[in-house]
Amino acid sequence: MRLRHRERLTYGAGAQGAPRGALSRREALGALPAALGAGLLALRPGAAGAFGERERVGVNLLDVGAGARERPRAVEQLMWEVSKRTSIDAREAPRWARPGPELYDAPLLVWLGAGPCPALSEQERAALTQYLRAGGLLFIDDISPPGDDRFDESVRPLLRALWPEERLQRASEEHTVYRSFFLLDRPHGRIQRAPYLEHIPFGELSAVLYGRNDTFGAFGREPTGAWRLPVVPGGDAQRERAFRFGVNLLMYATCLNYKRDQVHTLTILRRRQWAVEP
Amino acid sequence: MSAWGLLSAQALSAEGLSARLLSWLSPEGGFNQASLVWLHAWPAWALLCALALGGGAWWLAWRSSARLAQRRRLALGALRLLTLCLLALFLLEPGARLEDVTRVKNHVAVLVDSSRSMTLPAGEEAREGGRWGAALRALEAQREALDALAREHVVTLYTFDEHLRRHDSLEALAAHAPRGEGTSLSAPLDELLARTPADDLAAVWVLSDGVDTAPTPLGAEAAARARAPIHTLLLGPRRAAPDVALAAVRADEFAFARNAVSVEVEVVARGYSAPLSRRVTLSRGDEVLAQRLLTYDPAEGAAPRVLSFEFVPEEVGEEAYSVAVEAGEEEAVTANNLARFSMRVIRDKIRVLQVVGRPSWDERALRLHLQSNPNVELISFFILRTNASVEVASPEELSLIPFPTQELFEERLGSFDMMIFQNFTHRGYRMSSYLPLIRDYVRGGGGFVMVGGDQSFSGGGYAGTPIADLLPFELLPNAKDAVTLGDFRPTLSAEGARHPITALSLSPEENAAWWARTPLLSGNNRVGALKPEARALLWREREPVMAVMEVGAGRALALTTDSLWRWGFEEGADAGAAYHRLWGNAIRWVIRDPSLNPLRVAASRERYPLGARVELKAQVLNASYEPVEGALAQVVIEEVSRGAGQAREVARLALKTEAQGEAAGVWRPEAEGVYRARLSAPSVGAALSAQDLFVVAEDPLELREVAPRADLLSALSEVTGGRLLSPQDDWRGLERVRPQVMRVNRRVETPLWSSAWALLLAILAPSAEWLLRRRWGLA
Repeated sequence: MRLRHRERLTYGAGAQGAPRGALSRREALGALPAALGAGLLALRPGAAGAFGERERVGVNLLDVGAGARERPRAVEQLMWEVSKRTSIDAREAPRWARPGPELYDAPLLVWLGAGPCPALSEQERAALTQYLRAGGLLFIDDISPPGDDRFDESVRPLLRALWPEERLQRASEEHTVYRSFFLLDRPHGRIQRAPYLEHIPFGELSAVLYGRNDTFGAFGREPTGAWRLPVVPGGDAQRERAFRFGVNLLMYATCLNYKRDQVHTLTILRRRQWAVEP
Repeated sequence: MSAWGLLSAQALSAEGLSARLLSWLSPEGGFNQASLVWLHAWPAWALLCALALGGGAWWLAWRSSARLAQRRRLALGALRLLTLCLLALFLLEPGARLEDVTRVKNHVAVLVDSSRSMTLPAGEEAREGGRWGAALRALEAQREALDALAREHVVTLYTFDEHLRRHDSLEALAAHAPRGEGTSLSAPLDELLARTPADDLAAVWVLSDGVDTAPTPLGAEAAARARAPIHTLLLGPRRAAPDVALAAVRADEFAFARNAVSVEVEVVARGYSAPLSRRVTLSRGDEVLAQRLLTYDPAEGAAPRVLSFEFVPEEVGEEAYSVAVEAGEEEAVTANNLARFSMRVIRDKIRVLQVVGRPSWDERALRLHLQSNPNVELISFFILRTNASVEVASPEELSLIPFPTQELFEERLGSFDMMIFQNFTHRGYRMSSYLPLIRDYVRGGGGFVMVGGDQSFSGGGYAGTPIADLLPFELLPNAKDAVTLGDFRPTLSAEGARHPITALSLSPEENAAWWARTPLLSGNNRVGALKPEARALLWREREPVMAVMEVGAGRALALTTDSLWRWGFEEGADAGAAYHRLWGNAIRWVIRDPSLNPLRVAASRERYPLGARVELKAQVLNASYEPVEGALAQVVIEEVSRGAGQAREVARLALKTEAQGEAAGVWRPEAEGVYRARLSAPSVGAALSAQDLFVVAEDPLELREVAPRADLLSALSEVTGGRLLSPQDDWRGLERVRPQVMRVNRRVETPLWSSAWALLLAILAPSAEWLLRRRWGLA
């Protein structure tokens, strides 16, 4: 099929009175053989409770570099939002991890980067590479202030060393991370430095996602409840979009490319008002 | 007999020359071999010198006569040449050697084709016994010749089809029935050479119609291995009788459900001078799947016409198929118009429905596994938001869709091979009406897996629901706190040590060692007592962690933890291998992968000729996959030619297993058809069964190409120095390898040159030359 942008595809309620935006039974059945699955706008009697903290979905923060601890309470706030907005049983407190066995506590590793990237030992680089090849996902958030490219310039050679066979490359607008829960068209954060994500592909997934918009800078709160850092250029909408991107990141980490399943693809295309031509 | 007699055409052969010499020089007998020899004892150099002197003498004479007329010159040259030849004769002393020798007989093998094609008519006029009868008549006509050959050779009679059989007499051979279901000229020749070395073979006679059904017909190189002439006698009409036959049906033994299957059919037509058309039909049981029209024009050559059929099997299982060519009234043979075969339709992919109550690392790991398994077609539904979730966006800003419960659990339920409920509660989705359908789906042969989590088992509200009937243990009253927290290492049960799901290594020792050092798991659902028919494979003290159960024709597996993902996300070179192997085993067991069926039955062949014994082997394992010795098993044999739905029981075998749980049975079918052997062993589970299909065919390969192959027999004779015979030929005079001489009893050498005539000629020739030279003025 070929996609044509910005041509409205109209569709109404399904045969059983499905709500606008939902798949009719015919559409769902048609999509089933293609095999993929659906995210569910569903009713569930609330209350979470995994088998202890260890099994909750949490974030590991890579304890490397000057920026690693520069966004206090950011992860906690994001995970609180994730708990409230989604069905994920989220662990609010992050865990700090140095390159080594402790990385395997969770398949999502976040690296908050600022300033020149510290030199990692060969053993540490090997540990990071092995973590990524085992299926872990590394999200790198460049939290440097605007105009400071030292982290960006130093992290790229490091990524080449970690994953020699694939270069860091610009992620498509169709990357699953933009539609894993909310429909987004770009990465969002406290600042708007790069309107795109870069990634290192690993099969149909991404082993590394790299954003330069200080996404986690938009999350942290003071004990008083005030936001720790202002968003630039500003506004609640920008912060909300940053949270939505954070939620999508968690959804991508847990559900992988689930939203690329055929049944989702058609729905998402329609909601983005893309036309589908045979 | 005179010396001229020795030079006749027949005498020029070694055998003929020997016979002439014997009758000339030893008419009274006493010798059995004669040959021409030189009796002189001159060394080679002396002969060469004599040759040079002779040549010089003739040349001098020729040169000295140069001035004479040509006629006179030629006369003198001829006289000089005659003189020199006579001198050479006296020098070389030609003679005859007469010997009385003892020979060891070498072997003459007479091979008579006894395949089923020999029952076909031998010629235009119908004579008794068809081609086989013609072979017997030919042998009878050559009885004297065979007796004569037997004086010099060991004559052995054989019949052959795909193998060689020896017979002690013509009568014993005649009592043999031509029933061979295939013909190979190559294999019997190999067997003959194994019994009789090629050096010991005098000649081979092959009486056959030349129909060679072997995949690789006898080639020139193979035939030449005999190192003896092969004489062939073609049996059957020189002109093919009208016949349309299925020469070959090519279909895979396995096909994938819901994928197009191709069946290729080769049809040959012989003996027609005008174009004809026939319907060719592919059927499954009684159901016609496809029909094609074959048009055959003899002007386009005799090569087989190829037709392709294509159909899409929907259901998995083994079924009987047939291809039939419409038979014409003029056809002498109609058995070759039908071919039967069986085909096992297997899943192209295992269709798995994964329903997840909430995204988690455990869900992530299982999705990664299912997606990486090329045999799995995955359909996933994840609950991403609950009614307790805060709504901060309109539906248009979300990528969420409703949960299509009706489509999944009612309309499309039967299309899945297995269903996984992973930390998923049915509550809140109005699923109460679907739960009985899920239970019936599993009882009907579906697979069901429930993976632990706070929304599984009692926490998911399944106690007292039809889903509880599928689970291998009782459920505690519905409560969210029915969990046991803390890390633990699961222990393998006795059943688990043998069960294919928990077999992570082929070596029991390695398997036990791996389970003893598994990474720790964290937390599990608390459940009630294990059901009597269930098997627990993994335990956490007294709580089952993994258990399995047969549910009617389906199977269920329960895993009471949601931390198994840790085995799939480990540090190390072989990280995740055990996780993937465990889930791979579990899926294969749940969907009843035939390789994991504890009952096994197999026929020794896929096709049997009518009248052959069908040998069946069975094996019985118990639910823990231990061989059961002494188990009573039953094999029901049903005729399923018209489809599995119209099975007709024809026999029942009672077996008792021996060591390794194995048993064997034999059955002799009385009619052609497709048969199914179904094994059951009530002692290991009434619902369990295994089956195998086999074909008993009246449509042997032998009758698919019925036209005699004179070309094949002719080529066989030509390459070995033999002859393609006619029935009137006397076999005595045919080329064959002489037996080797083992001992000379008496030898006499008689000079042939020492006669008065030769002496007189030797005087007259030079005298005449001398007189003429004087008369014509030469010195």
